[in-house]
Amino acid sequence: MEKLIDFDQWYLNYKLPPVQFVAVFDPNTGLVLSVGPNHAFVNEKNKIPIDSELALSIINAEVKISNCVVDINSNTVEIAEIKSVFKIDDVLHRIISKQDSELKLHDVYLKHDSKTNCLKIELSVEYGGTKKSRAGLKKRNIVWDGDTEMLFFITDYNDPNVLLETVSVKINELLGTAKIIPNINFTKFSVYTRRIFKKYVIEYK
Amino acid sequence: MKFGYLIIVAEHDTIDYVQLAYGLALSIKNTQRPGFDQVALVIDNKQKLQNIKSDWVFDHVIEWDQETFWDGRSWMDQLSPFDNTVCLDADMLFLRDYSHWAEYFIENSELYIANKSFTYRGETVTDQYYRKAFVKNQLPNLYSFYTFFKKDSELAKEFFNLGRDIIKNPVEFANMFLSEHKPKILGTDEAFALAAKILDITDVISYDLDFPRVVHMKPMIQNWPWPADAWSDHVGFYLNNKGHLKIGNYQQQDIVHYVEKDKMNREMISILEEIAWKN
Repeated sequence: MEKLIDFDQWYLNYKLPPVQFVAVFDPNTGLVLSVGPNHAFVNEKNKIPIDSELALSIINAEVKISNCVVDINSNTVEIAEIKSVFKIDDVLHRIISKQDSELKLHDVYLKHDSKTNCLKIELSVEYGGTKKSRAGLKKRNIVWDGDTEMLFFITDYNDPNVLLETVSVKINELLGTAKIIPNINFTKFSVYTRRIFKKYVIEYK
Repeated sequence: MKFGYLIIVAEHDTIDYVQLAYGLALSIKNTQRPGFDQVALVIDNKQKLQNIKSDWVFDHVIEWDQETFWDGRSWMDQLSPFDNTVCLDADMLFLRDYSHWAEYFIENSELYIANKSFTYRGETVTDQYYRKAFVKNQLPNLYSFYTFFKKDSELAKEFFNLGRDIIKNPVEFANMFLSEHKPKILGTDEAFALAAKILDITDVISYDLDFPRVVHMKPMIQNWPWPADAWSDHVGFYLNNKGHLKIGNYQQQDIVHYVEKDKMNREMISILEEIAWKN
């Protein structure tokens, strides 16, 4: 004879299985389309697992889903443009010099030539710019809000309290071309910026 | 060998303590006057110094691997090659000449341990967030990051012997003396404070002075109206090519105990090296 389960007992002992969150994305652009538990997207092909903290931030609208992209190279979700910045390094990010950088690939490249006093600003090819990387990463088809303004604060060496000059560049000025800023005539200086991209580097020549 | 600074380091899985000690030693050489700029390094493996460009900043290198880093500092009295020593934490930076502090201690003390610290804005730290065991157990508020002692002092010998016993037997001492609030780790600060209390010598080894002044960058004691996991989330750390340091927009004049070990990176080292080479 079939034995009936005691529902109350079963309910008391029942433990929800851990929820694995995923991000569904557009394979052409990398833009994140949806975020939720894996079982809600059984039929989706283009999805990657993401950590619950980020997933809940997106679901709770703390992070805008439109700011999230899937990095095709590393298969991770990245926040492309941070609107709500909390850390001082996001608000006032010091661009590290190439010789001190331990990273090999960067998103935004600056190069100062002390002979011509010009500061060249380039976006990596991966983001639609002109700076080629040796690793030959895939180009992402990302549509930028071209009016997004990048501000570069040229300051005394390692001291943003002493501002020498401010340079403003719009992202669409860096798509397919480099921006040259003339008359940057300082012997030793640092460049700080609001962190829109993840990795910046500057080369002093 | 009359006076010198002692730094004790050992291997760590994720933190390069040799680099921290090197940065501190460079800053000592850059700022202290002759006679007060000697540095001794105690290290568990001398081979680790191979990557350092200017190992001359360490006037003495003592290879010693009997204890781990934290326990090792309680042996400072036996490891120092100097008659008069200030033992420092490795994650500190010297920013101006503090030789007159050492002169005072040489003249007036056998053993002295710092009893206050400061925020990066120069306020005396009053927040007890990290010092619950001190408050609950009425321990003297000692900071081992600046410990002066004379080699031939009986007082210092007795004090360090007891400090070592406490560190070797943390459970027994915590059960007996720290029952109101047992710290998760009985570190050097707690051991020294307890030793001072048991020996009843607090007034002798940590009386009120206006120095040493050490800026302590633990995040929760900066008098900020918000909780902080890392101070560098909230203020910047700016060391210029003259070796002048600003934290946020506050120029630092005192010894800075920066706590976040990644601050002593390759670039900071190269700034300090360049100053040392020009001197």
